Amino acid sequence: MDRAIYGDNQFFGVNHYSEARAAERQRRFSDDADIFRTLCVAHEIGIRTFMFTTHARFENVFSMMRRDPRFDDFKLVPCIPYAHKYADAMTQAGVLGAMWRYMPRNIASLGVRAARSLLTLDPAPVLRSLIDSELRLYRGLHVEAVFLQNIPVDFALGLGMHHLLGAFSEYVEGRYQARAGFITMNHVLLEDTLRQKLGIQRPLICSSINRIGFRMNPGKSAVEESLAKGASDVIAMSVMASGAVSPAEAFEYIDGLEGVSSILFGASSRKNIEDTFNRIMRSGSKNESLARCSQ
Amino acid sequence: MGLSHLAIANALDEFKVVAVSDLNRLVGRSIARFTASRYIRDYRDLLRDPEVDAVLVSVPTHLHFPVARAALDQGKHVFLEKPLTLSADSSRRLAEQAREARLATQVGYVNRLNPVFEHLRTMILEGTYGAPVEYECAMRGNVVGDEGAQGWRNDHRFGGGCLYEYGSHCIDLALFLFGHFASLDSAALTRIVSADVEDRVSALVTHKNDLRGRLEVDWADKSFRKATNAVSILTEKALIVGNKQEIVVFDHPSRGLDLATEEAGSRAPDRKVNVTDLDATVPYYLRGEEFTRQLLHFHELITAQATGSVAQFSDGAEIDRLISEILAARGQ
Repeated sequence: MDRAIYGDNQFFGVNHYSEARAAERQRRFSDDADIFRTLCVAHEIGIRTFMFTTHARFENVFSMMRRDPRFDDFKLVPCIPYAHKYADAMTQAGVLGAMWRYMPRNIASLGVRAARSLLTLDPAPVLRSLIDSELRLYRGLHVEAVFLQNIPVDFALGLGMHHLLGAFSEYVEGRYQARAGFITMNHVLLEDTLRQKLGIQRPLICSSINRIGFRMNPGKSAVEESLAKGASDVIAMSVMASGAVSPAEAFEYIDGLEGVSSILFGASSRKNIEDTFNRIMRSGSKNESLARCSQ
Repeated sequence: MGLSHLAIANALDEFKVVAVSDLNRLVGRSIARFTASRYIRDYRDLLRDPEVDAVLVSVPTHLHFPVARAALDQGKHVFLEKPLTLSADSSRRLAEQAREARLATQVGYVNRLNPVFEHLRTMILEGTYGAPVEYECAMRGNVVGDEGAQGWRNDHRFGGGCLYEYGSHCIDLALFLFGHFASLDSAALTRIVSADVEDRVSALVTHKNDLRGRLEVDWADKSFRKATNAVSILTEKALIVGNKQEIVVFDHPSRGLDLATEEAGSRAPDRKVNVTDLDATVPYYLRGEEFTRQLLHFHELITAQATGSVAQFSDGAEIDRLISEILAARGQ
């Protein structure tokens, strides 16, 4: 995967550090065309991978992208399911209840899967319907990887339902020929579970990695040790801890770490996108994707 | 919430989840299938099981009282979700039973375990910025869509309504930060989109230390992507504004400065503390560090490494008394 991956937090008023900053961003991107224009700028600068949550807002943005041949070389990394649609359902009814509640429109195919789920008390078949439903919008676009969001990932880990992670992985790779990835706030637990309990050789993981150890559970040194083993492909997010760490310090820290393949970043102005992208690409990685990224 | 607590308890080494009780057989049997827990449909059978030392109770609020009381009767430590009960009297009785029982008891007012709010409380108690003069404590979010509250959320008998759901957290934060309440001075409940319950609550309160405060609660505010707790405190020397992520301090606020964050936001703060400044990693994270920390705290109480919960049943009872006064003030 590309070393520099552009994220979508800035489009939706997400800023884990400051709620005021988040609100301001939300106002700035209230028009879909603004989002598309920013993606055009990102593409001009050299970004080729966009990682995003499957918010309904993107429907128009991707229509614009499909019509624009400049984006033929653009790679998409959808993260499913759209967090807030399901997070409420999740807390009210749990992973299982949420899956039963959010049904895709194709009742016929769901019927068989739902019946099998009920008979075996296993949500995996319904999970596949959920994946199909979430990825419907991206047909015809190049989907490089599909990530499962941290809430379902970490819920599955906590409840001991890691076979769901295995089912997700098999289905994404088999049906969509895309790499399956997992976002988590529990890096070490996830990596151990994927490798040892599911036998996934080289998992693709996205987790919070930054100089101050913010959201690096169970602890900064434990995550660093895990990274040093080099057993997974890791995308680092929250590298600036949502603004608590300066860009210079943030990238100095990441450069000094072994085991980070890619960096997910957010920015909304041309200058910030360009500066951050250039800084990431300058970092001492021998990753061959660096060569692919040049214009 | 129950599945959330289950996932956390199951993931933590401190707990062994031996059994789960739920009226929904599908959920119960699925859990039993994939975890090491047994499924026991009737909670009374679970409470009689000698292998069980403690229970995490997340049943619907109208069942809090019978379930928690039965658990204490059976000598089990009890973690009970908030609000404690739907009746001030039941809550008072439950709190008394907890006090007499010599068991670990804790109510799920999770904000008390949020490192930023803990820090804010310390700042207030240390008096660095002088005594608080007045405050606003607000909780806003978008739980109900345009159609308004549905199902149990639209029914007070089942703990529905903005006051029970959000108001309880908001009142709890005020209790945690500023101390016991002396009086409810006025209250207003407003319906906006929901058919049978309030969507907004406004209340003026006075604390035992004479501090005056305003509570503002709204669960139908679409400008909020997720639930936000915000506290603005005017003290003798500063304006302090805090939420789950950060605290900002403005020294010597000018006369007439509005407590509203918008006003304060145009001036750079003199001091700032962010959640990233406070070490908060946990062995297992789901939805927020504070959810794990509250269960770790409950464990400390059980093993007597801590005495007296940071979130006691008596706190829950005090909140429920204020809630009933607010409801009475509006003739509900």
